[in-house]
Amino acid sequence: MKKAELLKEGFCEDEIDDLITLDNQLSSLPKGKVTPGMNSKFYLWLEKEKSLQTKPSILSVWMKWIQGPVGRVAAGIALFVAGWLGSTMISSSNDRDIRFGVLTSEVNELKQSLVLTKMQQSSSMDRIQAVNMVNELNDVDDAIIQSMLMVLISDQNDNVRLASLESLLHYADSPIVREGLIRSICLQSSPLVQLRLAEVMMNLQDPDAIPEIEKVLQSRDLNYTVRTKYNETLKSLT
Amino acid sequence: MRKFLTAVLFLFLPLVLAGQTSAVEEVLVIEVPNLSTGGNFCFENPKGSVMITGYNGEVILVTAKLRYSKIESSGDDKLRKLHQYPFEMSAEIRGDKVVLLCKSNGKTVDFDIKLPQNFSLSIKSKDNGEVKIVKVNADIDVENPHGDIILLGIIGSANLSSVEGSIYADFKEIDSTKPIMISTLEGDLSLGIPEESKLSFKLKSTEKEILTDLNIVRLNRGSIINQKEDKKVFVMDDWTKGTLNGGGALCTMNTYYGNITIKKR
Repeated sequence: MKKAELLKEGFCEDEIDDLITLDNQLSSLPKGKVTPGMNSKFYLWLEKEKSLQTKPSILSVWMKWIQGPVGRVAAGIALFVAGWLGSTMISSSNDRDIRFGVLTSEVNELKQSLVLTKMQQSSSMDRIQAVNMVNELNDVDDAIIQSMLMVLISDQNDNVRLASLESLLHYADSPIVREGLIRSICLQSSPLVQLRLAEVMMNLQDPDAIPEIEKVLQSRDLNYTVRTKYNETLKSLT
Repeated sequence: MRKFLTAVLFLFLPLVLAGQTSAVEEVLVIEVPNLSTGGNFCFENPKGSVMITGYNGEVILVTAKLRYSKIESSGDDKLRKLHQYPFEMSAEIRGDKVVLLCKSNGKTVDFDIKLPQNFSLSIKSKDNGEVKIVKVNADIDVENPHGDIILLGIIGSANLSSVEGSIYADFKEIDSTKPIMISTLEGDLSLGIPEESKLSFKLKSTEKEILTDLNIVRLNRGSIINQKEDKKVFVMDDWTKGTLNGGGALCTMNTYYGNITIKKR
């Protein structure tokens, strides 16, 4: 088709010029030689590409195998073995946990017995060691708490009573301990313990301590520092 | 073990030197067999000082001295006054425990006691004196509410408390299996220990300072939880805690108005 005919058909002149230029450039390219084996090579390459496209994946091969009768039996056996191994591992781990729990509990009981025995010793250092050990126990039963309160009220040594008070503070959320601490206010004669109790009552902010503190303040022999501290505590509670 | 040991008490009659000196002194020698395992010596002085020195002997030697004695004239130049014994002193031995007893009827009596080094001590002075203990290799328990307590060259552990006095404790060696507890209200606390000692510290000086030349590592403080009905209160622990050489036996020191000093000896 000539340029004039194309213009008549409504094509743009610029586009026609571009096409003519392109046609000229293509015509100027060198022509390749056709060899006799070219066709057969081309078809071999085509077959190879086809076979690659149609090759099945490993997963699909496995799926096919499992869906077969042998595969089903093998899968069943594998599931059974895996289940047995898993349950053995879990149960042995549970056994270990239970044994560890029993052992921990036994050690704790032994420690509690040791603490109670040491609290009865004549050496004040043994008794201090016993009340210090209480804070290392995992569980503290009522017998220990009652023994510590007894030490706080009646031990002959000031430092032992002081150490017992410090250990009891870790259990001050227990009503028994709280009541015991308040009850001991009137029973203390050492200024060291009295002063610490005044500080403790200031922290606990328990109004039940007010009558006990008032009783102590009536004593004429009360140490000046202790009196001042108890007055401060009383003011904070009322 | 509460086995009576045979003991011989020599109560030397008072070396009363009335008219020659103002001092009234008495000596009590307590022979205690089976000393290889040590023992426990207990004494509560109603009024006066107590000085105890450990030595390598086999008897407990007690010297008691009246602190204030008057030289009174009988009023007649030819007669002199023969003083009556100013205080009573005795000792009891039960098992490995030796108890020294003194009745001084309000008089101040100072005691100087020499005893075997491996005797543990339980000492109280109720009034008007200091307690000083030197070169004892055992546990020491001292209460002296109105006076100072001084420990020198001790191997072992100690439980010391005062109210008005200061406490100085110098340890040649610490017993790593026993706690140390030192408390006072108004005085200073000083502790001297070997640099290599392994101790965990729990310290509180309410009004003053804690001082040390040792490498004590301070620990982070925890909190104490108090719960009452619907309210839970977290109170920060008001003790300063630390460790020396990784920590060990617990050493608690507590004073309200004094300084705490921990030094290497």
